[in-house]
Amino acid sequence: MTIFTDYTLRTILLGTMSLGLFCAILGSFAVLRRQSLVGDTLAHAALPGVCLGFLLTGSKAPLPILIGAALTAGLAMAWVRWITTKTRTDWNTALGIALTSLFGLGVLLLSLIQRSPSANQAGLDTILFGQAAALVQENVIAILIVGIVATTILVRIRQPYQLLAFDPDFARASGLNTARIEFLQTTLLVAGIIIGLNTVGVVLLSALLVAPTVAARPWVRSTTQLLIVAAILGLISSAAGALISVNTPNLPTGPTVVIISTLAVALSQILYSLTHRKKSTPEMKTA
Amino acid sequence: MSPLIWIYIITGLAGFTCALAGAYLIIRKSAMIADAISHSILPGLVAGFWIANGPNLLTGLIGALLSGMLTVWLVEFLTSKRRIKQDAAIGLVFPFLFALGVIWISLDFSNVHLDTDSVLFGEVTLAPFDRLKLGGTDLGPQSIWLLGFALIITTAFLTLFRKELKLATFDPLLATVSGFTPIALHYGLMTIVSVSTISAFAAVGAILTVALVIIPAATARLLSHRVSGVLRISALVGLTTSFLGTWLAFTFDLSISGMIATLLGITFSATAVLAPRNGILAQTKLRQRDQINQAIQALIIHLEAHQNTPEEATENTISHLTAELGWSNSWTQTVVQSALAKQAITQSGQTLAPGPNAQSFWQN
Amino acid sequence: MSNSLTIRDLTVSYQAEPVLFDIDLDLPTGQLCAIVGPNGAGKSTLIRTILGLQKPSAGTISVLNTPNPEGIKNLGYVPQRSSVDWDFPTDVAEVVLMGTYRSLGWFKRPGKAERDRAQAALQAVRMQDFVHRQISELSGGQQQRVFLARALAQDAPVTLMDEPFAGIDAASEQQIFEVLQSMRSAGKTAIVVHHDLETVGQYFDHITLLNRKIIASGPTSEIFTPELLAQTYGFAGVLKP
Repeated sequence: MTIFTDYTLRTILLGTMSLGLFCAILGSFAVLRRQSLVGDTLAHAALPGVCLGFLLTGSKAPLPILIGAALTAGLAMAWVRWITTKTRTDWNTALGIALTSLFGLGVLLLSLIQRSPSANQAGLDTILFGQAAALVQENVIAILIVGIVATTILVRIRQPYQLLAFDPDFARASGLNTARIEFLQTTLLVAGIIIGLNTVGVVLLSALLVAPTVAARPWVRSTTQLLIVAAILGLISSAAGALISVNTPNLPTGPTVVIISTLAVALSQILYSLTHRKKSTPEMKTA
Repeated sequence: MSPLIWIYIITGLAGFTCALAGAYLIIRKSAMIADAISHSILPGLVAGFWIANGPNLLTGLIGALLSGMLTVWLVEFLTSKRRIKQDAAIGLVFPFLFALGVIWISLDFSNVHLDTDSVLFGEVTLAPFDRLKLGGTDLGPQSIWLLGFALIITTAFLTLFRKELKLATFDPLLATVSGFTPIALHYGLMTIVSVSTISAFAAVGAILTVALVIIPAATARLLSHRVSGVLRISALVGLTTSFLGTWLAFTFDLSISGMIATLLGITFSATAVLAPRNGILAQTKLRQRDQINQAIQALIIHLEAHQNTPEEATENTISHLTAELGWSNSWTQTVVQSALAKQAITQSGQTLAPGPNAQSFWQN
Repeated sequence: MSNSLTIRDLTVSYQAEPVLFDIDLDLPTGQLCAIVGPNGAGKSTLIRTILGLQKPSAGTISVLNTPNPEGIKNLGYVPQRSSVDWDFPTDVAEVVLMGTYRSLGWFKRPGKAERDRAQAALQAVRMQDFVHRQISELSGGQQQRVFLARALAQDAPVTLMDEPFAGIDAASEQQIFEVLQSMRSAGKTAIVVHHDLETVGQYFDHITLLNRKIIASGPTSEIFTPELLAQTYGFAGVLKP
């Protein structure tokens, strides 16, 4: 590709790879806790925050926008917990409520921004689909810093986290401060989402959080192994996706990475079936 | 008719139809499948356009319906055959299909108007101008026909299979034993959801469609204890919120989809707090009443135990209660006042005794 | 006398592992029959297989001498309480009415005849005062009685019940037992998965001891012996009948 200088190519590749790596790690426990769709919800709920950050400061400076995104994403999670504890609404429905209405609020604010003539709002909606091609070195550094800090925290709280994922009642009974761990988990997921917004966008982000763990799952015997294998898979599939997309005209990076990550799941499942053949009587479906 | 009225009709129809189709989805606790369907119809739509070599309505719709059903089947397959949890399956399937759609658009249709933004947000203000034309005759906005069709088959399905759906959802085992086929009903229901989603999606965009499928039904769930009630209230909430949201959006010159979705979130939360029977306020009040009644029961037991005993004069006084029952002063006051008002106890001087209504407290 | 349930050479497997081995079973009609065995003995699998919800790897099942799947039409069924979605938006009347759906087939709506049947069934379990109660607002015993009423409304000659006595109060247990007795007087058969060895001898006419295969099956007096129980549960002398 002639339009890409070496610098751009390197930035895209580095940014996408580190994103794939950290999202895989940060999403792993959510998948174990059957909260795979939390990432999707948080990502959508970040939109009104992005708009608010822009509305309040009038600039596209990354910091206020990211703070705004983190705040509304965190608010979404608090809302979901409020709904599930205070009403008889189930978890799935609560996620759907928070996801759609907060995203709707974002769309509403976006229409407000677009109305004001002074604002230079162009590019705000790239966070919907992300734009890896627009990544600059600062973005990559931000991804690396947030990713490393979040991963360090996750590795440190790994054990109680694991307990909470495996046996929440026992975790509570053994005096674990589950509220704090829940809070940390949400914070870590939000961190993953924030670094992914620019690159893959809100709609496709959940694939990066979920796919590597699902692909790793059949092959591992412990959470530590899971984290390592998922991280490697996340790294490889985003590198592959980025390389393919920069070498093909008109092929957007984010969606390509998502396709490759999902194909990795399919490959993992097929390989596992081939190597672990079992004679089984399929259970009849009732629902 | 003016475009303005058409817009009201379109959003109202979308709200009514999606809310009706979503009711069983919420009762079955699989709300997020709607999210998955609404995103993954994109590649089907693109495929339909690709086959027809341009934005052809019919092939686009068929493609969208097929990819919606593919999503449902893939999620089913991954959860039942590959032991992947449902949420993870959904989180895998729809980004994949959506990404396929986005890539296909950017490779093949980069010059055709198929804006991915409007796929998500919808542009309902343009919907009245998308006319259905047959042999040169203008039959009105396309969306009206689509949504009308979706409404008819949704209503027909829910009416025809009223008892079968109820049984298959509540007790699939009994449904199977009774000779009904829950799996066929499941796919039937998913077809209805897909058809409604696709019809609304063209006019109001993916996210508002999902909001209309999930939130009215979730709100109705808080208000009714019967399937028929949930269906009715859900449709009503969908319709009124759509009208109100459209009106507000016009008044303040803001996005219609965004306004309706935001309004739906507010409606749900307000209902959660204010619902007459299961609302948070009603429940808190009920719990307080229960607490006071339980305390009155404890008080009566205490008074009866010491009545006509030598220590009655010391035990059965208000000042002694605080020490004896481990209650705070203010709580003792509240309970004694309430018990006196209900004539569960009587007071003479400092001494309390069981009152004429003491026995009735064991019934409630 | 004909058999309510006849099973020949039944083997059921999950994955590669058989759960039920070579089951041969004949249960009489018009009696209260218990199926007893330790956890993991395959009791629920047996029930699911009889109901046609689990495909056996081998063997045949007949209900009232009619081979399955045709024979399933003679079966009524009471689910395990823990498997029910109690939040489902429905009330007592509606749940009991569901018992009449099979006789209606597809599309037909329940009419007065069906509602009368449901009402009679509710009276039989003494739940007629709770018709419009949401099912989650009932006590455990009441919930169980509603499902029993639903089975009565099904009006099937043979009723399968999965642990109807689990986790309910003594009064409800007594009432459920009375309903079972009246079913027997009406010539119906109840096949009940039961876990309580204290009461099994007192409630049931016929006992089947199951632990992956049939240990013994016959009239209560012949089967309910310490030796056979020990053989079923794998320990000796802990429980006396």
